[in-house]
Amino acid sequence: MSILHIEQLSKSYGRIQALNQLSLTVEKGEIWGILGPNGSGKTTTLGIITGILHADSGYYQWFDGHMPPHIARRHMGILLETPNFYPWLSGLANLTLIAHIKQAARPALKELLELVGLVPHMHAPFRTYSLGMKQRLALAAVLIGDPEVLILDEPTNGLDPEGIAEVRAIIQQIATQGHTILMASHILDEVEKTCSHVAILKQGRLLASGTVGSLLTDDVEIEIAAAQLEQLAALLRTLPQVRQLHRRNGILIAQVDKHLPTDRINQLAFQHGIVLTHLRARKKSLEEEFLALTQ
Amino acid sequence: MLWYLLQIEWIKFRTQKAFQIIGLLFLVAMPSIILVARMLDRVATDDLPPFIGGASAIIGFPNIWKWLGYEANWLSFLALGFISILFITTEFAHHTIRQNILCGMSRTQWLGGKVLFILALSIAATLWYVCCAVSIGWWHTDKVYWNTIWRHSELAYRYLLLNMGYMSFGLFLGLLIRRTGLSIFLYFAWGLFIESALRWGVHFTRFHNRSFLFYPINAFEDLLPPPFAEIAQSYADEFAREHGFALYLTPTEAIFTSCTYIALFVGLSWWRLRKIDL
Repeated sequence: MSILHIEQLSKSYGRIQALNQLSLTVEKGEIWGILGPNGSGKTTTLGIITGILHADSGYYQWFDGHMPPHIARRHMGILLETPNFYPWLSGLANLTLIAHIKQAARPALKELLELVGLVPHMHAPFRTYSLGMKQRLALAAVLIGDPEVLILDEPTNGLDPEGIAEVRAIIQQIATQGHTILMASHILDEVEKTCSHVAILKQGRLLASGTVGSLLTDDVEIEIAAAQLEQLAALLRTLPQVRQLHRRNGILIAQVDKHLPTDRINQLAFQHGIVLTHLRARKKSLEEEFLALTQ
Repeated sequence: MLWYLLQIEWIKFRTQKAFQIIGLLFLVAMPSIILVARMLDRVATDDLPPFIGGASAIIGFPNIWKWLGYEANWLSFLALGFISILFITTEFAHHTIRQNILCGMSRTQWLGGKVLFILALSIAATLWYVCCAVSIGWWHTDKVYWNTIWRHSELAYRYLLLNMGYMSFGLFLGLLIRRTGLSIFLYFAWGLFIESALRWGVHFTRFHNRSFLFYPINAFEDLLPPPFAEIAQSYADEFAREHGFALYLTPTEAIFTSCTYIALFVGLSWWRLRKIDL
């Protein structure tokens, strides 16, 4: 059963095309990271599939269309941008209201407040909460009714480093429990660590999508330095496994395929009378793949 | 479903300060203002106009229904209309309407909750009007007979409709404008000046027929016409003689016109809510 199917979804704001014929299918248990620069259509996509924005064309359906969209949303936990609660109600009263709307059978609100560390403040009005507390309350709200699907849009936005670490830990804990998650984030490292699938958007278009592994190439980047840098560069250019070579801050950066291990480079250099002063190999990160795709 | 939607609104607003304060003022003001009429008994009978024999002519049965109804008409316009705007615009100001939709309400359910809540408040205000009319009338009528008590009690049903009218107008304006200050300004400006100016200054002058009576606020007001209209009957008669039609809508006309406007305001609100991005 597919959890979400999006077909040719488009949306524009005046002359700005926010979303351009986006198609995507999310299966049960997958954790999707939706990436893209500002204005790429991430929030618009999430806004449309959660019923708060209208698409100009195209359609989407949840749970194979077995239930109306608003009933489907009761099986989801959704956090879009900033948390929106009634400022005069306490944290607990706000969660009670959401549990009532979702018709959650056993909402276990105290346990959720405990999970996000808000029990001492649960009777205080929401307007007195700090930004971090508001975000944590929003995460507790998302988890009401043990939803099958989580939709999170920049869940760590505006938080201090401590808050980001807390929220990230909670998301990673949730991710291990078998929920289907759609998460829009700027923090690519977070997405790489948490998500199984990635969709990359730019100017409303889907540039790439698939598993994180399929998006990351097998290419390896090697940083090499030696006293005789020109000689070393000439040597490296003779190797067929080296695809690209450039110089950055007195270090050579070589893009090589995975069949050229670092010990072979070290051996070759030594045989040519070059003593390496720096040798470090690393795989391309999701951030680099993202930048390569979007720039 | 109805209970589910009503509970949601009650959880949201029962602890809101503006709702509590305006509600309390409404409850206190309704009996307090009409009881000012008791002062008439301290005035020498010779100083009073002949149509007012004393306080009991206003706060005794059966006239209490009309005088209290007229006062309640103003209170509802001022307080309940105001509250109905707040119910809508605060949801937009705090983006909680988004949160409600995200949590699993449909837009129709969301609006349905608001309509049910204003219906519940209208019923509550009407019950309070009946309580105040019966209790104040009881204390200020020399000889109380069952049929005298309930002689103008049909005004209670019309008062219910009037409350729905003002609040559905507030609901519509709130959804149309979505900003508290501007919605409230336009609500009062329309109710107090703009509609009257349009009716008398433009419509009546241009067409010179009864159609100028069928405006929303005027129709709601005519559900409970001012009691002194009967007192100033000569002016009403003169107007009718001069123009060939009465100054006020008949109760039946007022009821049907009000029902039409209530349906229109709710329908337009629903149409608007379905169209907008949240």
